Amino acid sequence: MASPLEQFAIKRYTDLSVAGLDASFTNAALFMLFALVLIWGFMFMGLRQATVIPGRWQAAVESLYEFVGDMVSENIGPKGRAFIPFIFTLFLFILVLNLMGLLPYSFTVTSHIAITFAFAAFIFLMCIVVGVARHGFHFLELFVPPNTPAPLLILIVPIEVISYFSRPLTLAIRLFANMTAGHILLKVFAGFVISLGAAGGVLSFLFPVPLVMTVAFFLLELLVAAVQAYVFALLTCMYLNDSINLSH
Amino acid sequence: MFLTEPDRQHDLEGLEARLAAAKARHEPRAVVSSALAASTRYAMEIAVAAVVGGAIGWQLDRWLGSKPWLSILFLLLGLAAGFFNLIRAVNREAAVVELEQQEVAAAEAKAREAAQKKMV
Repeated sequence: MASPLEQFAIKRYTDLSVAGLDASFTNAALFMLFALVLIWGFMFMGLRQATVIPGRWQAAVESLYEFVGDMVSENIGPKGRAFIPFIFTLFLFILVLNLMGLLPYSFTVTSHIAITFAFAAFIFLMCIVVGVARHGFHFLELFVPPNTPAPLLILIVPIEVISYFSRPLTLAIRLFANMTAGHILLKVFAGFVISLGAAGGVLSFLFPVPLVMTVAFFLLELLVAAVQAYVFALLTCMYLNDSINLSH
Repeated sequence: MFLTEPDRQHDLEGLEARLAAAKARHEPRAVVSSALAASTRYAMEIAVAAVVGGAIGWQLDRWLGSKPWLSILFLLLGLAAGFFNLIRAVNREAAVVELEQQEVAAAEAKAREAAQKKMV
């Protein structure tokens, strides 16, 4: 029987190297392109004939945009409006990648830490750049919470620094771990259906038990796919909020 | 400060919107997904902050040759950072809940007052 980890294997389609770096076209790249096409199609259908009274596709696009817009204004405030396109793109891209991964025979791009960490590292650097550009040296005040007694600062500042530098890692690992764990679990339970069915005797009659579990887990995975995309976008908003408003 | 009629209208609408949002937050499905989001978030933060703290300490130990004291110190600081985040989040959530309760109580009092006026 196939290993439950086989689904995460990266397959190279064409070898390609850019400036000595490996930039081969892999199944990860292919599925990111699929996601791009899907998103482009969705937006195209929604914006094809924009009317005051939206049609179905337009209403779907608009409500998604409003969802992200509300999230940004709730967490960053009016100064965050400039970041709505970025957060919208990020949320939609991760959501589509997560959901596409649940289709049989597909590949879950977000189950690779290389990819989630690339997102997270970019966001982390962007937060620092935005913070320094807006506040200059005062950006370091982020590590000194207001109303802290001076002796406690020796303890608080390292704690704040550690928690700041753990942000890109938490962001990357959470998405990667949730997607990977969910897909392994699905595969293991689906494997039980076959191995129980092939076991013969009384055991063969037990095969519906893991089947029901697989269906239940699949529903849970649908929720996880959406929630993790949401959490990723939400945390990006919160981190940007720290950089823009210098608040905790 | 005087509230003009549209202002008051706006204020009321704002309150209603906030109440509706508060109600929506207590809808079972919303509660499940936000709890799922929060739990994966803070559990992860505690673990990762401890690891990052330990890594910083380990690197400092290598530079300063103070094995293993800084590793231990920074591991503990990392753990503290993780729990600090959790405590802050719980306090923030508690403040939101308190505010909601106050708003609901105020709205109920207003409704009772209006009903009494009608009776009189």
